Amino acid sequence: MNKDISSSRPSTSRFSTSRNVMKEDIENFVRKNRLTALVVDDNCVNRAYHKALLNNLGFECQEVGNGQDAVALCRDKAFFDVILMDLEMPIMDGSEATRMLREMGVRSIVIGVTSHTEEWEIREFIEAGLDEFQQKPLTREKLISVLYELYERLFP
Amino acid sequence: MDVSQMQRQLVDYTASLFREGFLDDQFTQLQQLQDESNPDFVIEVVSLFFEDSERLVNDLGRALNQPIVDFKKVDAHVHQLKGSSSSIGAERVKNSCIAFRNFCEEQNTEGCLRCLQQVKQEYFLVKNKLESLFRLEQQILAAGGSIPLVE
Repeated sequence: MNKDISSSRPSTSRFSTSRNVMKEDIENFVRKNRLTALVVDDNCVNRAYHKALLNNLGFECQEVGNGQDAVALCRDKAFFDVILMDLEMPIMDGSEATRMLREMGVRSIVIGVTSHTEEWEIREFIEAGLDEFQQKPLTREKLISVLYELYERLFP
Repeated sequence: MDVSQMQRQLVDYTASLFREGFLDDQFTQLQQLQDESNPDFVIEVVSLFFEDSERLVNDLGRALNQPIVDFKKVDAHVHQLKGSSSSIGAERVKNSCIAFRNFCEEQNTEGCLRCLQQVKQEYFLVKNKLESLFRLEQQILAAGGSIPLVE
């Protein structure tokens, strides 16, 4: 990711707990670096909602309806800074897609989202190569705090 | 009715939908995503929910009326409906879907058919309520008022 991280990473303390400060930090970071995101979900309502969540933070978004299309896009050299990946999808599910993306060397931040609560399913999903996992429905607050933590971790 | 009366009515009506469990906090999440750059977001995403739900309810009716019911297919449809109702905060529809999936797991056709009736009933109820809510919002806007924020 050839982004000017040092000058644009969140400027407040990493221990900042104010939601507004966090949102502003993330939004500035996303807009300044023109970050992109891919929403992978077979449910059109969820896709519209997740896209709006990401657009609201300044991401430029694309969407696909299953894991296979996500893999195909990345194979065609598309790059996304963040991928919001659903677990249960037809044709190719989120675990398999994430595993394939990692095998292809895709370094995007992959955030898994699912309404499934079975521990083994979630473990398998995480082990496929997720950076983070969240239960559905994903809220704006959860997304902001996940992104904040990921950027702190990935660009210390 | 003047604008301030309509605004009060909207606040009260919205509060009643939360109080009676038709909507949950997820609906507030949708409202928070609506801004000048996305002024019709709530209506757009809720309309998608209406289209998707009606398709799924029809698919469920067909799947449950087959001589041999494919419960995996039925469960997949209910999973979809649960996901979209959860995303827009249609709490009662979501809760009906949870009960529905238990009957799918038991492969109980009678139970599934009862749940389908309940899901349909909850869906049409919340659809009706949301349409009334949007109508009231449009009336306020047409009268030159702004939509009051409901916390």
